[in-house]
Amino acid sequence: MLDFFKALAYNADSPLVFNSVLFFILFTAFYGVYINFFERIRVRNILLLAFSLYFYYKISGFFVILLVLMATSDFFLGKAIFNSKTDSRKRWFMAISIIVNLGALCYYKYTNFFIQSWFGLQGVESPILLNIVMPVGISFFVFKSLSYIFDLNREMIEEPENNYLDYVLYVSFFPNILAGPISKARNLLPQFKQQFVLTEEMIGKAIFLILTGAFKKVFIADYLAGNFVDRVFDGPNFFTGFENLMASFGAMIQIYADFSGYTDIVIGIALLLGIVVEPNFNKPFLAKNITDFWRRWHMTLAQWLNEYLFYPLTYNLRSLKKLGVIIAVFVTFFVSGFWHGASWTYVLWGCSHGLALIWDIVSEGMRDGIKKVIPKNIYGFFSVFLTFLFLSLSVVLFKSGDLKTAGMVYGKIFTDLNFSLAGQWISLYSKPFMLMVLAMALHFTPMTWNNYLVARYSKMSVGMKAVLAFIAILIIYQAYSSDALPFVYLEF
Amino acid sequence: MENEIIEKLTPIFRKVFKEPALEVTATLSANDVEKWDSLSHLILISTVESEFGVKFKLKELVAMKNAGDLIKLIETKLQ
Repeated sequence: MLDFFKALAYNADSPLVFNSVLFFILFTAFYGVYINFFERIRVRNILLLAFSLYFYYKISGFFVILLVLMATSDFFLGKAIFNSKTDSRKRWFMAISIIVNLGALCYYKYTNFFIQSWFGLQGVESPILLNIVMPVGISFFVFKSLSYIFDLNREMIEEPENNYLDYVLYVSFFPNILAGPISKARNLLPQFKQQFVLTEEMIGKAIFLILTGAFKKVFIADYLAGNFVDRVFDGPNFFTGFENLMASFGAMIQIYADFSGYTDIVIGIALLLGIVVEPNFNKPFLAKNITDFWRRWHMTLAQWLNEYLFYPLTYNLRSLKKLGVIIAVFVTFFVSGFWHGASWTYVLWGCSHGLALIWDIVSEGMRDGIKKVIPKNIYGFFSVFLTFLFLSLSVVLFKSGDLKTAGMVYGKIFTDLNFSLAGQWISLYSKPFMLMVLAMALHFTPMTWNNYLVARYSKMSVGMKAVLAFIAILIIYQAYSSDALPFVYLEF
Repeated sequence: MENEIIEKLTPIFRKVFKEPALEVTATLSANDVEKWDSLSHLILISTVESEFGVKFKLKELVAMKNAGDLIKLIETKLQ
């Protein structure tokens, strides 16, 4: 019995993640209570808040207090912004919120990075390494809360939130607190005020999303990482250039399957609760260029950066016309890279995407010219292929823990590439290869197939749904070995 | 007033979005025009500002959903 209670307390070594048995038990128990109060808005929201705060405590310990304090600060600053008579007063309160939010983010996430970079610039190894633990999900909940402040300031939200508990619930809402989608206050907060609706179709869709999410995570992401991609990235020099190239393709597919699988689970869990969370992915590998890619990949982050950083930057630089946009693009992607992690590999990854977007801007006329002389299908195919090639080569920076590893992978790809080894590689790594093909093929299937399956599943009887879900869970659980990997985006 | 603004806006829209036959209506939005992206939007705004001799605030631009909003905004600025 005591062990059971111990399991419920915070333990840094066993965080509560969506793909754990403990989460499954706790969520089922919570849901059993929650569903009985589904129509009583106040009780329902308090239950959601209590479970959200417990969930965060279980993962991050007493950082839950920091989370509540930060939400409290923005709740009152939001009111102050609304009640300000002048624009300059508004700006002052907004500046305080930015300092509190980004200050906390910088302290927990970047202090050691700044210290190390400072000493690195002087050519010596840093003698100091502070023991700072980063609160999980801080990059995500800080952005969530800031969206509320920014929207109030620019009057996209007409009135400040008056219910303190609902605001804390918005910031701490457990499905998306750890790794997004980064919901905007203007989308999520109004839902907490409404009577939730939960139709058979929504339940069917939710379970379908949770199962496909788990499938993507366990069968594609973890399998690819464990059986091929991570091996290559652990020692690129032990593999051929061709294998390094395949590993960079595999890394892109792995990160997609991992993060979009995670997001599917989040959206599914939120849907079971009666909440619609914004989507994060829309078939990103169909992108025809990197601008298009960022409309399809980690959409809530891209939209956040677009609305609150890129657009204000272009506004202020509008007298520079095209050059203003180019500067704004580069700054936005530099920040995006830095947001992903306190490491130069992420910064360079962000910059590479920034340069690709700048290329999209400056080459528009030339591309329009090529489009006129090449058949549409061929142009489309090469656009998609070259975009994926760029994504895979740039993700090497994202996937490598350090610049040295990235350099080795690039060295192998660009100096030791021999396509005649393809047959040998496929026979040696037939399963990872098949999975990569499968992941891409699934990516290219029409949305109607997906909708058809969801509709069929939704229409089944409760018993049939339960049996199918149970079988799926069993299969996934069989494959889910004890050395299962954590979700990639939980590190940010 | 509204018609005069539309008359003056039409050549600007046509030039910025490279569509010589584009008709500016109140409901026209970025969804209807292929070349209406963040770059052309910015060039549109800065051209409108200099042609009409007005200055927009960031929050006015954020709230703008279609050409109709832009026309109304210019109208209030000119009055």
